Amino acid sequence: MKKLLATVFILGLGFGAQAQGEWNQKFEQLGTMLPTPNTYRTASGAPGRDYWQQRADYNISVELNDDNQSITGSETITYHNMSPDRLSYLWVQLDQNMRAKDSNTPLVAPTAMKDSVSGKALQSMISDADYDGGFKIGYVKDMGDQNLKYTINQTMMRVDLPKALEPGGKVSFKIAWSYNVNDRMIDGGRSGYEYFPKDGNYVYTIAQFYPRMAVYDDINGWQHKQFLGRGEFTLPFGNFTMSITVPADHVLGATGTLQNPAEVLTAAQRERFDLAKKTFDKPVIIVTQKEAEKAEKSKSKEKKTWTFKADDVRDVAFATSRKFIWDAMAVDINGKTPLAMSYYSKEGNPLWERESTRAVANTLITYSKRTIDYPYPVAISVHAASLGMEYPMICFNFGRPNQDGSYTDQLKWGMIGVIVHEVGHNFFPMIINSDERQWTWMDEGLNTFVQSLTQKEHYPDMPVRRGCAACIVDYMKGDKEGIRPIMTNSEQILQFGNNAYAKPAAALSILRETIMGPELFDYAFQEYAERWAFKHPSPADFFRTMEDASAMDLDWFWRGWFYTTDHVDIGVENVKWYKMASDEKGFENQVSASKANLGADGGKAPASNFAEAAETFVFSGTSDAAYREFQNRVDDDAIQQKHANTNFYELTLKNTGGLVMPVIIEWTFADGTKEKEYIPAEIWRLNEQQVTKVFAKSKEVVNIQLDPDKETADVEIENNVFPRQDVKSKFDQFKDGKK
Amino acid sequence: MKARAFVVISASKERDTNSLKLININPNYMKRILISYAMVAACFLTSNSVKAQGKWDQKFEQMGTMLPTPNAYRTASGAPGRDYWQQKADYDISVTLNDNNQSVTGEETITYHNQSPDRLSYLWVQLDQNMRAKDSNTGLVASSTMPDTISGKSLQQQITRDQDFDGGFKIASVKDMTGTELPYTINKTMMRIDLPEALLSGSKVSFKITWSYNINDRMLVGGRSGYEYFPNDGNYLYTIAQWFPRMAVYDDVNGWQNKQFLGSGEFALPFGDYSVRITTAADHVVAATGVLQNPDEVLTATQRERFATAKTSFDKPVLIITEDEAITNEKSRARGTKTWIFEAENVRDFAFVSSRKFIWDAQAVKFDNNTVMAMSLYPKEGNPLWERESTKAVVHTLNTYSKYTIDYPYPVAQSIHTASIGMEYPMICFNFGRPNPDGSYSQRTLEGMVGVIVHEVGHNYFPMIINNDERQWAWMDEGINTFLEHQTIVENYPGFNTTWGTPAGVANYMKGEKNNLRPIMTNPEQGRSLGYEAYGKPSAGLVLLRETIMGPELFDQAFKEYAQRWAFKHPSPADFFRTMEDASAVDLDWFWKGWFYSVDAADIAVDKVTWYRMNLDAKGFENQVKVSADSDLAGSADAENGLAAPKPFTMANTKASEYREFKNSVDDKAIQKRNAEKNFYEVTFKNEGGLIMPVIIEWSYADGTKEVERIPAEIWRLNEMEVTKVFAKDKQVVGIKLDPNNEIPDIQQSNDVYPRVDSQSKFGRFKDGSN
Repeated sequence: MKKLLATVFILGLGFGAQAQGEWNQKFEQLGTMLPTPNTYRTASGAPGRDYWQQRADYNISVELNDDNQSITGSETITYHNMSPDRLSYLWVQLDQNMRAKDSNTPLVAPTAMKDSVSGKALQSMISDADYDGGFKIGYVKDMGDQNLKYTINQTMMRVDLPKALEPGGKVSFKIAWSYNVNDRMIDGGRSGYEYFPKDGNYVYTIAQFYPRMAVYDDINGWQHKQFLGRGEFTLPFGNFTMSITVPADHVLGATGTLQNPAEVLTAAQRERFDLAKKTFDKPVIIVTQKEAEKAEKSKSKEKKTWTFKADDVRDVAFATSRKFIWDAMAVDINGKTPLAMSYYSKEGNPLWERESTRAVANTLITYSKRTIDYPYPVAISVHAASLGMEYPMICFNFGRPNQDGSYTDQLKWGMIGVIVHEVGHNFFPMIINSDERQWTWMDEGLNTFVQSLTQKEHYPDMPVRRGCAACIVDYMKGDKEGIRPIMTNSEQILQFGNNAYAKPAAALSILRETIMGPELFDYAFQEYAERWAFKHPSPADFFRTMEDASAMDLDWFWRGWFYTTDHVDIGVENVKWYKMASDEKGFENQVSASKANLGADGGKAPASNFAEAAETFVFSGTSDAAYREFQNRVDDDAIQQKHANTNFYELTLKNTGGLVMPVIIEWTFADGTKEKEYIPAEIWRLNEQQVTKVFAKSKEVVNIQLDPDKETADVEIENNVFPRQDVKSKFDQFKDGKK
Repeated sequence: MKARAFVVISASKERDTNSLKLININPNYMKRILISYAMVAACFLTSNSVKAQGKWDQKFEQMGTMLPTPNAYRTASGAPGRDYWQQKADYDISVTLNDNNQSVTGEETITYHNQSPDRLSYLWVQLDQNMRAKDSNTGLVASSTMPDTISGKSLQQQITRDQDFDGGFKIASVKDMTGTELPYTINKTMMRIDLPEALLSGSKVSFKITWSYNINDRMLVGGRSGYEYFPNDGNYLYTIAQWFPRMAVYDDVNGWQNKQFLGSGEFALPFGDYSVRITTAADHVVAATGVLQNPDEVLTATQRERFATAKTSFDKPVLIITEDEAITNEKSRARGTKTWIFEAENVRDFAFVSSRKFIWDAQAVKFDNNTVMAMSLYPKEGNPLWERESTKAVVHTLNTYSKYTIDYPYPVAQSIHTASIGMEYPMICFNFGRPNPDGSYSQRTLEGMVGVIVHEVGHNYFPMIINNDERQWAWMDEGINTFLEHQTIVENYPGFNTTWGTPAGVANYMKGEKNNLRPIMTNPEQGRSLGYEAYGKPSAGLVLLRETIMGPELFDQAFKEYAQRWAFKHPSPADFFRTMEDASAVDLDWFWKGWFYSVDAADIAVDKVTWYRMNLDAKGFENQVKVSADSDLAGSADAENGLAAPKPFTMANTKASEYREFKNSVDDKAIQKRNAEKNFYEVTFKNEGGLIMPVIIEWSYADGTKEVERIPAEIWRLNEMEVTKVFAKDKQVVGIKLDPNNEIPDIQQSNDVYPRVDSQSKFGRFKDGSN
């Protein structure tokens, strides 16, 4: 919190300088750090009574020119104003303008010179690639073919309506445009083409290819923050009809359901496709590698138009090439049978025919269990070099074997990981439609978390890279100058993958496994998904729902993990061992413990080891004053007798990392047995830096270990152990062993 | 301890009143009030300065909950929401001005319409005159210091407060419409009236107040209204405002806005319809908010005829009362009275002026659906300046403001000559600008007079129509209005000094000691230098937005959208911030944060420049060659030295790993060829001031040509303190200058230049010496 709120709370400094022993309000409620609930969004984190969202329906026709890699299109957008507000203008997103000559993106990119620069890097540093990007808008017209006034500001276009659009009304208008497709190898990009010099063919993975409505909502008004490149997309839901004209020998996959298979597929393909719809155990090949390799050589001059429909989606994308192999299988999701499909060039095989469609199916199964049943008819994975990018029902994924078809485990796990991740994005943000332009973590973080659950369930041998407490430690202990809070806009994030993917995923994993427990967590997480499916959630809606459905006050957790860059470092500062003084006199007359009875380190310095013998304390009778007005009495003798041999351990714990977390203590007893004890984070609520607590143990303790299973992302484990382990001596032992 | 002696000097030596309408212009008076705020602000400032040492300050994060959460009353886009509501207060007032003892006696019926969704069990009425009452807090909370020398006027006004003036409203009665007394409680400048029955949502209530008060002598005690006495002819000129108990605003932002009137924070008022009868000496001429209803009773036939002519005179003012007639009138002392009746619809306030001394001219201004009378009233002391310039300035103001906001919706706009103040009310304002006794005047007097008229007439838009809460946010009317004032002067008065309200006009202020600066987003009572905080700096911010950050097209559309959305409504700062972004698709949260919420200053420096060229050694391309140690130094230069020779870099073949999974490759040879002769400049910029601003670079080339390159502010989003960027130029660069046209109030320009001017001259001297 401290840095984030400097301007929000004028008392920001109050929080800032306090890491050294001051109270930081870590357990105070988030209060006005979150927006005030209203009738649009409830305090429980659900859509409110007056919740509304806009809707945009599209009818799009585009043609791909394979000779010059360009797209020409026209569309009719029907915009439904479900808001309570009159709108005198509409904002349309022109994402391709991020690649236009006058784009701000290269201007605001810091760059630095090196002594040696490769051609590719130099070209990208000075934006020197000879590419004329950006939308060329042909016209913007109303349905009576009258030109509408528009103003283009970089990646956003304001269309001024001749008459304000009233609440509950709708308006249709037409846009025509064209643009040159970017070469992903040179310019990068979430969409574009890849050229294969060997056979002279292109694989097109096409997205952000049409002017798209911006979101107008209760949080931002128009969310038209410019597209600089990092902050992804914020889009309203709608129904799409899309006709795509491509060379006749292309195979094409797209968002939605193919409407005219008879016109674009061969009889054999249609037959295999029908078979795939009934095949649940393995993918059915619809276009074989042999057929694809043959098509690579054809270069037809004819054209075909593929027509798709997609309902309740926020976007559409497509992939097309002569090079595509295509397989598909049906997945049973509680009686719904979406098709899992893959499109890939021969360069992806044999990896892709083995793993891709299966990974799609596995993803749908686990995500449906954790959130809502997959509601769309298809889910497609397309092989695209060096990229992972998601769109509704279709995504573009890397994973290319060596020339000879061999591949390492690392490549395979990478490829499966990206497929699970990108297919998983169908849920976050395509269905649970968060504002990506503002909050990367809401889709990337949540998705990475469910991705990790999917991989654990279906790929137990796969190394866990993200979504566990231990995997975030290195990042959390890094230089704070290079770390931003999770609650940072996409464009300002440093260490993007750690910040927006790994850390939120680790945080959710810690919530699930350690703080809330799977039962409470899973219920609340699913509640969030159900509440916000096909709606636009904000961070507060997530935070509030997770608490609302679980009765866990997590404000301290959101505050620490999402709003600060603090890390976890809880250590055992001191341990004192006590036993009851056995001297009979002790009971009646309080005797001060003799110096000789103190632990090894005696006085004030923290101990590093258990004392040779327990310090003693005197058990005294309960005084009358202690009973206050009560008439009844406890049995002091019985209490004394019961605990005559009990070991009392007074632990002093220090929070040096700043993050408040539960304290997990593993006690190892003299007889070799162990006990794990869990202290909730609220132990820190009165003193956020240091707490002292006495534990009564019947057995003598020989070792104390905090967080034995590395559940809390504690970055400094040396101080988790008592007696302190001498790391150096271990090294010495190793050295000794070598001698 | 001995008392320090001090000397009383003549009041005439005091400098002119500040041209702005500030009551307590002496900043020392503010000091003590500000202690508690200063402590809070100090934390704020320290936290900023701590972070200036390389920490990230979230300057590009969205404002989020710094702004109120949008709701059904106010949308996230900055517009009035579906359930937006505002109250309405209608007034029926009869008032008598007593010229013998300079007092006002009045009675009014207020009809208050509760258009809120809430039940109201009490109403708050503003008694602004109580700021001048004997028991006012204003004098108590004004700090003061004892100087070695003090004038009689200052001593009386600021230290002893012993001028013999019995100010404040005397409330005679508060009654319902049946004549029954209503219980009321007066808390300084606010009066709560307890309703016998709660006023339900959608209903209205009428009640009557009778009152009187003594008018203040503005020369002695200052004030936005009052009288000026002219000893030469024994007449008074009354500029009367805050003269009737006025409804406070009840809204969705504050509930009742009943923050006490201490003097700096002006007025928050609901709209309503007014019917006002003003009874004054029969030989007085009266002008007021609204339209005169009974010209036959109060004007002569000649005057009515001239007025009719003025209504069709679109090119120049027509005199309705001439100077000769006014001078004659000055000598009259009528026994009887006349009652002037005015009506005004949809206004938030009502003011009037009355005097025997008035000359009066008028001119018509045409808008699509409205013809407006631009008028001026002034005593002979204002001439010949006023007959030449006043009404003309009113006309220019109406035309220019209408272009940038909405067509002027009221029937009249009047400028009244008033010594040493500028103060605005709906359709009427009081403006300074008095020539020397012989009628001569300096250019400075002219520019000051035109400036104040444009400003005060401009206030018809902000806050009279776009009705912001002045008690809380002075900048929303003063700053926005100063911006359009500037625009009006630029467009209509070539040759005038137009620095005020621009970035250049605010640089010195922003350079000041941070402890003396307050963010624009500060309540005016806590402002340290309201002239800048509420006027100059917000205006400069809007000029920056229009000219440098957004460009005129996007800015003007958004600004007009704001005016249209909030005309005859009550906007808040968030509504302005949000509308400016919503209509333009320019994310300005970083700008509001820096310019409005902080006291950071702009100081961007060219810290380091390194000049590179490609190493064209044939081997270089195929085989990476180590750059020799000597040449390594050649292109490197700090800010003190010029660029001696380029530092070579090697262009290497793109490695296979850089292609990752792609099968295709780039043409390294072509890239090399294309860039072989280019100069690469790696420039490091430092943000020394903390304020985020665009970087405007002027490159001077060896051939004498120049190029200006504009880098948007977002260059700072990842590192708010320092950025490095490589620029590829065909020509060789000999100099770099930031912000060549002074668009940004950069408080330190010496570090904007590369090579530094000092070292350049050193180099020059060295060259001279060697010749």
